[in-house]
Amino acid sequence: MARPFRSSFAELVDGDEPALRARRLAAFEQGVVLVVVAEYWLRAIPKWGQLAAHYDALLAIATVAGALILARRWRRPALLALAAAHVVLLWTEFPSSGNHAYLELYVLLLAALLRCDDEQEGRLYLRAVRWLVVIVLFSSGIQKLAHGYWLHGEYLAFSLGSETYRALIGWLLPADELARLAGLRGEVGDGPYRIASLPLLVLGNTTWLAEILLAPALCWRRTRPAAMVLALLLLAAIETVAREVFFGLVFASAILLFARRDLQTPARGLIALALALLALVRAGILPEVTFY
Amino acid sequence: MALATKTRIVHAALLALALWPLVHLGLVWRYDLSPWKLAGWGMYATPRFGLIGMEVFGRASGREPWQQLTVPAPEVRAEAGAFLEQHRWLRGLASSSRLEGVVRAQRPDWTELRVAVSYPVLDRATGRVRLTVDERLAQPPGRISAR
Repeated sequence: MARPFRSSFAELVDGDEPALRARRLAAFEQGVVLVVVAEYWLRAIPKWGQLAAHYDALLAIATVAGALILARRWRRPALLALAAAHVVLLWTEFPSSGNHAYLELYVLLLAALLRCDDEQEGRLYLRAVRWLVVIVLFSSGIQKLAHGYWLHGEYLAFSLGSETYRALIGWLLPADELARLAGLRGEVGDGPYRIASLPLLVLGNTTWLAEILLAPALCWRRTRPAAMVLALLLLAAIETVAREVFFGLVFASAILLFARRDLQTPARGLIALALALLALVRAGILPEVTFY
Repeated sequence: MALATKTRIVHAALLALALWPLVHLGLVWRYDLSPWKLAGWGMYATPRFGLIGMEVFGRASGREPWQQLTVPAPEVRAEAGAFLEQHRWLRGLASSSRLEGVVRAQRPDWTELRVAVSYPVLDRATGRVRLTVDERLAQPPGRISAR
C-alpha cells in the first residue's frame, strides 16, 4: 500500500546507523544542555550582584536541572524545568532575545518529549533536529534574498565598518574602496554603501544561495555528506565575524547529526572545552574576546 | 503518550517552524519588524543600527500648536526607555500605550499626544543611510495610532 505523502516527505531527512543513534542523540542533548547552562552563567558573571531576582532563580533552576540531565537522573522533569526556565527568560526579555534561545527551547522540548534510547522515538527525534537545520538554513537564505541587502553587496559594504569583517573579507576589495567604506560611520547621510568588487559580490550572493541550496542537499542522501561539510564551513565563516558562539555550538552540533558516524560524542567534549575557555575569558583569566 | 501522538506533535511543530519565517517576512514588510529577532532566521539579512531617538509632543486642543515635552518626569523617562527597546525590534508592533499613560499623568492638560520615533535605515535605492520616522498620534480618549 502506498505510504501517505506527508509521512514520506517527513522521512526525507531520515537515514542513519540505528546502533549508534541513542548514544549520538544523548551526546547531542547533553551538548545543548551544557551550552544552555553555561550561557546562564556566562551572562551572570559580568553582572554579579546586580542581577534581577528572577534571573537568580532561573540560574539556580538551570544549574540544578542541567546537572541532573548530565548525570542522567530525572531526565524528563529536568528537561522540562530547563525548558520552563527558558520560556520565562524569553518572556521577560521579549523581544530582544537572540534566535539561539528559540533554537535551544525547541531542542529542550523535543528532548523532553522523546527518548533517545527508544528505536522509534529516537528516529523521530533525529528527524526533528535534522529538519530544524534544513528549515533554519533555508529560511536564512530566503530572508537575505527577500530583504535584498546581499544582492548588490549593501550588507557586506555596511559591515566593513567593523574591524572583524575587514580582517576577514577586506582583502577582496581594492584598497581605496576599502578605505572609503571603512571611513563611513553608519550615520544619516553616509554612503553609498555599494561595492564594485566582483569577488565580494560573488561572495555575498553565494552566501544566501548556499543557504538555500544546502537545505535540499542535506535532504538528498547522495549529497548529504558534502552538504554537511559545506554547511559547517559556512557556519564557521559566519561565526568568524558574528561570534554568536552559543548559536554556533548548538547549530554545528545539530548539523553533525546528518553524519552517519557518531560525531556527537567528540563534539560534546569540544563544546565543553569551548565553554570552559569562554568561562575563563569571562573570569578575566584569559584575554577579553567578544562573543554573544 | 503513544508514538503516533508524539509523531503528530513533532510534525505539527515542524510545520509551524517551516511556515513561521514566511509570516515573519510578512510582519517585517507590514510593520518594519526587525528580521534579526523572533525566530524568523533573518539574522544578518539587514544592516543593524543602534541609533534611535524619540520626541513627545502634546497640546490641549487641535487648534493649538504642538508643544514638545522637554523635561520628562522620571516615570516618563523610564517608560520611554522601555518603549524604545521594544520599538528597536518590533517597530510598528511596539505598543506606546503605557508611555502615553505616564505622559498624560505628567501633563493632564494635553488631550492630544504625538510620539515620533526616529531611526536610521539603509536605503537600498540610494545605498545611503536615511532617517525614518514612526509617528503616532493619540486622540482623546487616548488611543494611539500610527500615522
